[in-house]
Amino acid sequence: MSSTSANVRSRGEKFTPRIETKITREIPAAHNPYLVRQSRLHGYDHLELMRDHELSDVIFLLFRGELPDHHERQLFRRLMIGLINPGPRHPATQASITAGVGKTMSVNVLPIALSIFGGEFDGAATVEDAMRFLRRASRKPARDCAESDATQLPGFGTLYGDPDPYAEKLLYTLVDEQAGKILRWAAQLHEALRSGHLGILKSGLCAAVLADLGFQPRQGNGLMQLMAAPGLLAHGVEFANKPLTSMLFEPDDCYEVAYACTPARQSAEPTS
Amino acid sequence: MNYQSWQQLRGRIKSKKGMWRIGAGVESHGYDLINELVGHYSYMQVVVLNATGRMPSKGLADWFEAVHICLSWPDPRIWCNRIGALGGASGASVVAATSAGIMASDSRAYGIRPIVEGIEFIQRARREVSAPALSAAEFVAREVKKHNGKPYLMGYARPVAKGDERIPALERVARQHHFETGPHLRLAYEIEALLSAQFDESMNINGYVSAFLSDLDFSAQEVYRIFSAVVFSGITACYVDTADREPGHFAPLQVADIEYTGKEDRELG
Repeated sequence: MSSTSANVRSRGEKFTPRIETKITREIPAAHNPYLVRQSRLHGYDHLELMRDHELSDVIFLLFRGELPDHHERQLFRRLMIGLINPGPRHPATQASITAGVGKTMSVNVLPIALSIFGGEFDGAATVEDAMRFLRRASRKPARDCAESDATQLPGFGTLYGDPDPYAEKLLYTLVDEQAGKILRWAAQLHEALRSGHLGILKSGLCAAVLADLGFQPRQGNGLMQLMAAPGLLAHGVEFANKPLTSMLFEPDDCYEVAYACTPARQSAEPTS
Repeated sequence: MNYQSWQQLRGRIKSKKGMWRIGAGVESHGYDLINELVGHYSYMQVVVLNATGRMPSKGLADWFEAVHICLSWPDPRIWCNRIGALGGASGASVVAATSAGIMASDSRAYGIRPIVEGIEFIQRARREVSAPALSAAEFVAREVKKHNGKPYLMGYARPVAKGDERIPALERVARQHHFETGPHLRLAYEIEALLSAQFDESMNINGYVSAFLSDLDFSAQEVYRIFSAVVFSGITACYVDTADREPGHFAPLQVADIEYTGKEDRELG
């Protein structure tokens, strides 16, 4: 038997000759069409934004298309600071430190750390799912949700076997009288999950705030990575001039090998 | 205390793969890597060993290598290769650009990640069509209905072109190494014949690889792991092509090449 796929024909699809964007409008320099003399972000002059606005305002503008109002500004700025530093024990920071001490090209350190921060364990991988979950579930009482299969709620659960107390502190630092509907609901769910020994995770906290601020779920994972980037990079660069012996390297007597298969040497193909 | 399992790993490495015993040798899955693997097994055999814990025959490793060649096109219009070319033109390092292109191949729709869904699809198809009440034609009709009448079954149809020249090449390599057509691949061909007759769509490389390796009892995650860097060489080729030019000399865009469709100019309040 064989496939009929050998006959290859173009589908003749029309690909765009021009990239379209709603974010950036550039005005070319008169003498060179590849150079820019003015740049506008969602209609605002870039240089004016530099003069008058905080970094977090302009990040908000890039993703949401509008500058934040006073309340949005405070909340987004506080979230960004809240998630700015996953800490030296986090796997992504460990990756950053390992790259730093390994004298990895400095421009690679942040991408390495962010790649690992894209995981599910205390990372950014589930923010998108958590935003979808929170937008949908927050129409019902939080207690109803806690009584369902609570171990499967994206953005909620345990860290190292227990609810994450620092995520809880961040939650209550962000929840105030002006907190949005979804963040307040997430706090109610966190309380309702307490008896089941579960709680909010940082990804759930990030998701709740971003959902209240009108960000799209597809933006969530990357925004949490962006927020953690300064702390991840700072730790990696801190190690860039340290000797190799400042990285973890377990001695042989702390290293065990136990092969999954017995005997260890397995054939990849069926023997029959 | 709920953190016992972490306590057992604190300050310790527990490995199911192997270790470097300093001064004594390097152990990999029960083999002495330096003395038993180097020069005795091919690189691709070791790639499969590291990804699955099982050593493939030389013939199967050659087939895996052929898949890698099939995914090594030096055409920068292919999206992960384009990232390599952009890296070259930007003066990024070859490692950074190739790694970035490999990461791009971890895509929901294209590249290597859909192999997981491809293998799950053909293995589910085999289970369901093996049941006495369901024919391949009925199975295909049901799957097409799930996709709103479109033939978008995982492992079939392909972006940009119809047909897939890589499948006859891999079939040839399989014949060279005397691999027989197993039940998953037979069903994959049967599904292809049905889709071809009804929609003029054929199998793609994902569908072929998924069925071939399902017949050899590989799991979806094993295949995803074996092929984690399957596109790397084409990316490197595209990187090299642009890295050896003047900076920025790849697909440059004038300001006018961008169509702005956003807000009108506005003043800060």
